[in-house]
Amino acid sequence: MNTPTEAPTAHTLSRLAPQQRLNAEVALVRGWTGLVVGYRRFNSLEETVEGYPPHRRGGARNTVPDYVGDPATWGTLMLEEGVWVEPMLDRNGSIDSWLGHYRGGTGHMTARVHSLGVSLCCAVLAKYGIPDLNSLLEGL
Amino acid sequence: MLGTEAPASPDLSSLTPRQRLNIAVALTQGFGWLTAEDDDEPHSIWKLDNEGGPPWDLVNTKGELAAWTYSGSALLRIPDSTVALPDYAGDPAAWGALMEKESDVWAEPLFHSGEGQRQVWQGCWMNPDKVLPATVGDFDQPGRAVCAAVLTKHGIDPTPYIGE
Repeated sequence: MNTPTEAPTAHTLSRLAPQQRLNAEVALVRGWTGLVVGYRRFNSLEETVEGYPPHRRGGARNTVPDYVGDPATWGTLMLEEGVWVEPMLDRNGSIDSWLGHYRGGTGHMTARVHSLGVSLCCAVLAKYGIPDLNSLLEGL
Repeated sequence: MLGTEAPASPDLSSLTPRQRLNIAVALTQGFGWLTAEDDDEPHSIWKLDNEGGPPWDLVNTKGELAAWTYSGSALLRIPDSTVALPDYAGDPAAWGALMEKESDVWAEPLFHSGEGQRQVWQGCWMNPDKVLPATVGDFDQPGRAVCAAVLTKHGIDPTPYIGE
């Protein structure tokens, strides 16, 4: 049974839109804990699917950043999490997709995806040991 | 000297390296006019000449070299709007957005194994020949690497703005 101090777990994110789910996962591994909507605190993210759910981080309450879609968050992820991206080229030499990298051992890479923002998020999650990235990427 | 000519060696001594770099990048992003926040006089509006001349050719509306008074509060004007000059070099939100806008620019870390894994960043962009990415520099910050890559992509040598 969840207690009010427990952070939402991965399986409770299933009802969120794919981008919201990924953003919430990244927020959680980056130290965001309790979910707060208005003045009420919830133990899971199932109870809100509109917009980006507010989270509580430390003593502050903020809106979860759009790590996936807002380029203004990408630099922060790279700087604070030490992740980076590498482009994959198609036959014409154009950028086709991106690999996310994180520093671990010899410098691991994550799934090849079409979005730079998604690749950075994947790298952050992989860095923190989130095992099942494929389910998080469904629908993106 | 004609009034419309910009001196070859304008004095940029009052600018910090980061300001120089931010201005140079702003020119590549469509910024065109600069005005000081605390001075609305017409002569305080500087034209940034990025058509043929190097980006530091700053002339005012009288065609004279601007006695550069740029500070951190200075504003740059893009057509029909006035916005503060982004801190492309130092603000992660600014250089993250720059990566998105340029779409083929990024920063990669280099790990120097023989130096206690000292990490530096190189700026990268896609060469027009699209064979291999081009890289530039050896920077302590990813933001500076992204800025250098953007300048290089737009045909501007980043060396004067990056410094030593």
